[in-house]
Order: sequence, then C-alpha cells, then structure tokens
Amino acid sequence: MTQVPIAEGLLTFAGGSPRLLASHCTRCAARAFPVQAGCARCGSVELETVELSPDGTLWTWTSQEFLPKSPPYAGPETPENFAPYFVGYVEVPEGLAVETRLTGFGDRKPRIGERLRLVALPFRADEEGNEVVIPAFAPAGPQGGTDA
Amino acid sequence: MPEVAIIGVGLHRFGRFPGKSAIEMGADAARLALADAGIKWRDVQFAFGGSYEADNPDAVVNQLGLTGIPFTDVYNGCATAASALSLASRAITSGEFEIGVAVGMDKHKPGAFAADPVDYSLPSWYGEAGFFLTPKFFAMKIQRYMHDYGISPQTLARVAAKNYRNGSLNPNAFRRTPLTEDAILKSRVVNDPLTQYMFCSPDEGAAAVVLCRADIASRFTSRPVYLLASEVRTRRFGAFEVHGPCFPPAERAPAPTVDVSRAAYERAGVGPEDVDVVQLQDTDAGAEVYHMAENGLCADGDQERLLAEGATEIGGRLPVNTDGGLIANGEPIGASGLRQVHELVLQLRGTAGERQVPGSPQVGYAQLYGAPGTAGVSIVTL
Repeated sequence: MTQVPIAEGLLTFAGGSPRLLASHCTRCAARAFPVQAGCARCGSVELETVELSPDGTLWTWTSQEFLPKSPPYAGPETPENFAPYFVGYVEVPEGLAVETRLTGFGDRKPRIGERLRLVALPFRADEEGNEVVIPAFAPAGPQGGTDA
Repeated sequence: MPEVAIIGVGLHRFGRFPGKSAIEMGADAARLALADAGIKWRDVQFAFGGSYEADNPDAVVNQLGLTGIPFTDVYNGCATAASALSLASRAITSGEFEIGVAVGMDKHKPGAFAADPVDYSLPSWYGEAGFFLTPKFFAMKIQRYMHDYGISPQTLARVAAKNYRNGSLNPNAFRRTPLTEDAILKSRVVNDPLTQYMFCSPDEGAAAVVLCRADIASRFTSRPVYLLASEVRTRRFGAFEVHGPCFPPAERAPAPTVDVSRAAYERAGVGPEDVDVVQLQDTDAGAEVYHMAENGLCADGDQERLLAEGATEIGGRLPVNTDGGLIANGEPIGASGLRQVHELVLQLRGTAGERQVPGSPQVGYAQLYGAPGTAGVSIVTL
C-alpha cells in the first residue's frame, strides 16, 4: 500500500524516512511549522522550506480521550471503536517545539524530556486505496517502547 | 480621578434555556442593568454587543427600543466580553459619549467548540488529524506547568471543588451542586491530567453593564464602581498558545495574559497587592492555577501552598472566582467577561449575598483568555 501524507507540504519522504517540513525566514531566521506564507516574527514573505530533524525531546503532552468532532476530524474511528491517543509538543534541534501525535508508548504515559523520533503514522485509507499517514513521534529507544 | 464609572449591572442566569434565544437573554440582561442604573434605554447614547453564536447581538434593540444609536457588534474569541467593555470604556474616555452599554450574550451547543481551522490561519489537515481542539491545549499547558513548578493533581481538584462550592452559593450559576475533590479526581479523564469535572462547558447566558463618564455618575448612584482599566492584548511571537502548531521554547514569550495584566495595572495605578477579589479565566482548573501567576497574584509554584491553605476561598486572603467562575457558570463566550464584572460590582457594593467576600473589598480584578491567544483584564474600584 502506498503511503501518502495527509496534506501536501507537511512531510517529505525524499530521503527514505519521513521529515517534517518547516518555513525558514531568510530575513530573521525564525522557523515555523507547518510551512507559512508570512513570518510570524518579522512579517517577511521571503520564506524558504526546510526539513526539520527527526529527533526531538518531549516538551509537553496530553491524552485525547474523546473522539474529536467531525468535521473537521477525518479519522476513521467511530464512538464505539475510538481508542484514546497521545498528543504533545516535541522540541527539535532547530529550536522549535512542534505539535504532533505521539505513538508507541504501550501501556505507559509519555514523559516530559524523553527522546523521541519522527515516524509516519497510518491514519486512514483514501478512495484510491492509499494509506494516508500523519506525522507522529515515537520513543527513540531500540525497541520503540523504552525510555532513552 | 477615574474617567469611567459602572452605574448598572445585569445578568441573565447562565445554563441551558431551551426555546429562549441569545438575543432575548441579552435584552433581559440589558433591562436589568438599566433598572440597576435607574435609567431608560432612550438615555443610552451608544452600545457594544458581544456574541459568538448570534450574528447580530445589536438585535436586542428590537426589544429595547429602536433609538438609532451607534451599536457595534464585537467578536474576539473568549475575550469577546472584555473587548466590548474595553471599547465601551474608550467611547466614553474619547469624550464623544457620556453614557453607554456593553452587553454580551451567547447560546452554545454542548461539547467542545467546533470551527474551521482555515479561519484560524491554520491548514485543513490540522483539523482533519484531530488537532483543532482547545481542551488538549489547556491540558498540555498545565501538564508542563505542573512538571516545572511542582503542582499536584490534588491542587487542580481543589480549584474545581472551590468553584463548584462557590457556584452552589450563586443563584445564577449553571452548576450548583458541590463536588468533592475525590469525585473530581476520579471523574472521566478528558485530556490528562484534566478530568471531566475540571473543565467548564459552553452554555447559555447574558450579562450587561451600564457605563458613564465618572464625573456624572453621582446623578445616577451614590455608590458608583469605577472602571480603572479594561485592556485587551494578543499573543506575541514565541508565546505557547492555543491553536499554535509550533513555538520556540528557547525564545518563549510571556502569555498575552501577562502583557495585558501589566498594561491594566499600569493604567489603573494599582498593583497585585492592592487586589481584594479576583475573577480568572478557569476554562479548566489548570488555567486558574497558572493564571494566578500570569496576573501577578502569586509566584509560579506558590499555588500548591495557597490552595492547600484555602487562600483563594471566599474567606481567604485572595478570593478567586467567588461566583463559581467558568467551572460553575459555564462559558457563553459573549457574556463571560461581563459576568465577571457583574460579580466584582456586587462584591464591591457588598451585595453578593451568601458569597460576599468579608472585609469590604475595594479593588476587583477580572481576566479572560481564549483562542487564538487573546487576553483581557479589567480592574474596578469603589
């Protein structure tokens, strides 16, 4: 099954593994996620698109324990089969904390400060049978479930 | 010398009112405020109306009288009512008007607010992937705050229990049943660490305030309450804000509440140490905790001790959300900030009944915060 990101310009698989795309302001060097049309710091529209490092540390998190309203939510779950998931802000080395799904924690809760790595998380199937993916960060340990 | 006085306040009870429109509730609140001021609608020279759900809050004139006055509608997220009050205050200080009304009303459906992320300058995928929700932001903000400053879940439960207790003393509150800290902690987790009973809910209601130039207030009342400041600010670059998909932790800017609070204290000529009674945006119990510090009322982390000591109770040294706050009243967005001012006016007049703060409070403080990073603060005094 072909994996396609939920939106163009959000993720790239150009190097094989997923990378988040961000804006870099050529005037003031501020970065922003996702890609923006204008710089939130200086207002410049001279922005270039850059890749963010896939490694980060958890800045904060919570659990999403109710099914988000549709629309806008486009996940495949029903109230009957909805399973709570984690979301958080992950700080990447480029100086940004990005809001993201969190995955791969098993039965435990995420821990602020733990090392995480970007993965492409299957979200739903589209009409062409592709697997739509969203960015998520998972524990960076070798088993994907251990603390670094 | 203060420039603006509040001479009348009115409130339509908050809750659920099937068959009654937001406009009808707004008109009721305005009538109560006019009666409190001892004036008629025809005496009012201008008005600002706040609402999220009602496209035209100015339609209250159909029930109050079509007098032809300038009536401007305001929507500014959860700071809508603070914006209506701030603009009304400035309409008087500009010198153009002597007497006017700020009225707010709303009628929300149950459940978290829904909107189109594109209208918030966000991409569609942000909503499609489940990020366009406000409760999870508040949970993530208090999660980090608890980690940094040693705040316990018990303190969150203490905040909520206090607000339900205060709501039980307020005949206008939506939720009037006290809940134990244990019941609050053991209720369904909505967004870790926040449980169902730590959140406010959108509901229905209205509130109104009659303002006049301070030097004519004695025509209407022997005990005016002066509006010393009514300020609104939005987020700066670097702030960690609701519906913000990123922020730079090393360059983190203060929340807009910090900025608006400082601006309001400066304009009012008072400091946090002068404040006797406080209404804060308690979208959830965690928000009340960090808003105490963001408004300069305590240092970060002191909330753990202050709540344990009962300092924020009605009889404590820093009473917070004496009418039950958003947790007990719910949040009709257009009315919420004017409810806070209504409560402060009753407290300063000494007419808050069972929930009256003892010791004749002299200075009242109200703060609002909401999406997408807008905050308002009003300061009143006798």
